[in-house]
This record gives sequence, C-alpha cells and structure tokens, in this order.
Amino acid sequence: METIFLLVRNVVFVILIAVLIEMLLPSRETRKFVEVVVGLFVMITILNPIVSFIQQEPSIELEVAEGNEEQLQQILDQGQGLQQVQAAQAESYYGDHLEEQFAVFACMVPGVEKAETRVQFATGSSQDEVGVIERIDVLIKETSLTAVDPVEEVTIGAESGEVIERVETEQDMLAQVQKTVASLCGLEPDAVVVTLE
Amino acid sequence: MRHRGHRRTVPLCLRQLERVMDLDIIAIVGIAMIVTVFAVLLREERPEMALLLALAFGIIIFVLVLDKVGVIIDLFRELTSKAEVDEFYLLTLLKILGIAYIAEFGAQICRDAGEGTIASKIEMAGKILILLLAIPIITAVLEVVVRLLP
Repeated sequence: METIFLLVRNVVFVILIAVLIEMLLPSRETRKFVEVVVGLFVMITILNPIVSFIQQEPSIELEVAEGNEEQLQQILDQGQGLQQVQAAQAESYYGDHLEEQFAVFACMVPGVEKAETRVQFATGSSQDEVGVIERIDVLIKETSLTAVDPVEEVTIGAESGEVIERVETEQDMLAQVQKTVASLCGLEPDAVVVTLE
Repeated sequence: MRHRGHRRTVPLCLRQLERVMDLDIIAIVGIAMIVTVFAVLLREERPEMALLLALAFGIIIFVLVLDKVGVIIDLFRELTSKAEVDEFYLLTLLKILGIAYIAEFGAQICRDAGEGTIASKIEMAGKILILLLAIPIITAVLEVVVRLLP
C-alpha cells in the first residue's frame, strides 16, 4: 500500500514537471523533438519503480527482523550455552596438557621419579579469566632419594659459577619442585602445593 | 492580532511580486515597441542595421528573463527531489530545452535576414543535438522494457 502511494505521488510530480517543461517549449520546429524526450522522461520515471516492484525478490531479512522476540531470545540463550560448553572443553584440553607438562617438569627435579599434577583454573564469567591458573597441586608418587647418592656440586661454564642445588632431604626436594613449577608458570610459590605420597 | 498580521503579509508579498512582474513585462513591451519602430524605419534604408537591432533586442530580452529562469529551475529541482527522480534526467531535459530555445532564436534571426536555408540548417543541428542528449534517456527506457520481458 505504501509503495503504491509513493508511486502515485511520484507520478503526479513527474507529470507536473513534464507539463511545466512543455509550457516552456518553443513553438516551432524543435517542439516535437523536445516533446518526445519529455514523454520518454515520463515513461522512464513511471516504469522504473514498477519494474523494480515486479522484480523484487522476497526479502528474507524482513522475516527474521519480524520474528517473535521469544524465539530470538531462545536462539541467543542456546548460543551462549554453546559458547560455555566450548569454553569448558577448551579449558579441559588445555588443563590436561598443562598437567602433563608440569608432571614432566616435576620429574626433572633430582630425586623425583614419578609425579602427578592437577591444575585448578580461576572461575570467572569474563573472557579474560578463562584459562588463568589459580592453583597447582603436585603429588609426588615415587622418589629415589634413598637409592641415589647426594648430588655433588657441579659448576656449569667457566665464568657463570651457576651451581645446581643439592637435594639432600625430602623437604628440599619438595621445595625445589614447588619453586620449579611456580617459576615455570609465573605463579607465587604458595599457589603450588607439593605433597609426597 | 498576530494571526491577522501574518495574514496581511502574504498578500503584500504577492502584490509586490506581481508588481515586479508587471514592471518587467511593461519594460519588455516598451523596449519592443521602440525597437519595432526603429526596425521599420531602418529596414527601408539600412536593412542590415535593422537585423542587428533585432539581434540586440533578443539578447536584451534574454538577459532580462534570465534571473527568472533560475526560479523556475529551482522549482523543477524541488519537484524532482520530491518525485525521487534522478536529477540527471532533469538536467538533460533542461539542456534540451536550452538547445531548442537557442536554435529557435538563431533560426528566427536568420529567417528575418532572409536566409531561410541557414535557418533550416540551424534547426537541423538543434534537432541532432537534442537527439544526442536524449540518448541516455532512450537507453534507459529500452533497458526497462528489456527488464520487463521474461
């Protein structure tokens, strides 16, 4: 209805323009020519919107825009649910790999034969808090402190004077595991809890 | 009171406008009379001067009417924007109108000078130029017709 109203209004204006131009025309030879061109002008301005209207494709966007709000909210909720599931899956995968890596690093400390780690992530709703490590529990399962002689002091390089710390007691070993794992992931040592089975 | 005052101003403006128009047409007719008398007198003795006089009169009329044409073109522009029509078409029509007027003016001067052949040549050139300017409109009409066909 709106389209037809606009079309009729436009036609009225175009006819008005054409009549005014015809009034201005000279009265001799060229008049016929200008009249033809004015006629074509009227034709094109009337036909153009009609053809566009006829060949108009059905608008899908309109249907989506006019869909009911409940349905839209439902879709948005489902989207959020999917996002949360994906985030949880990604965090789980990431946590498993981190735990494996930390266990390997813990085993690098002299005296540790087998270790298990468990990573706890920060719980927050914002995207920035996803994957932030809050706490690491290291469980040392097997040690070789009794079987191995205390490690002797070894100097690496001629000038550095770096010394590998000696591991003599279980407490030293636990402290070193804590320090290694904490420094590896940039955490405070308190956030890494090392226990011996 | 305020309403009454507002009512009073509109007819005043219209009256002033009408007065200006009256003065214009009186001036044009007055000049035309004088030029006609001179042309009649000169045609016997110096026909070439009479022709020049007619030419000068035509130019004076054109200059006098020129600023009024601007108002009409503004009206056309407004109507075109209201009709949501491409302004290109209006510009083409106005150019065609200008060509038609200039060609008529030149042809008439030539006819007055007794050169009917030259006048017809001017008209022919005017027609060709009008058709040349109308080509985009003709093409647009053809495109629309082709789009209408299945």
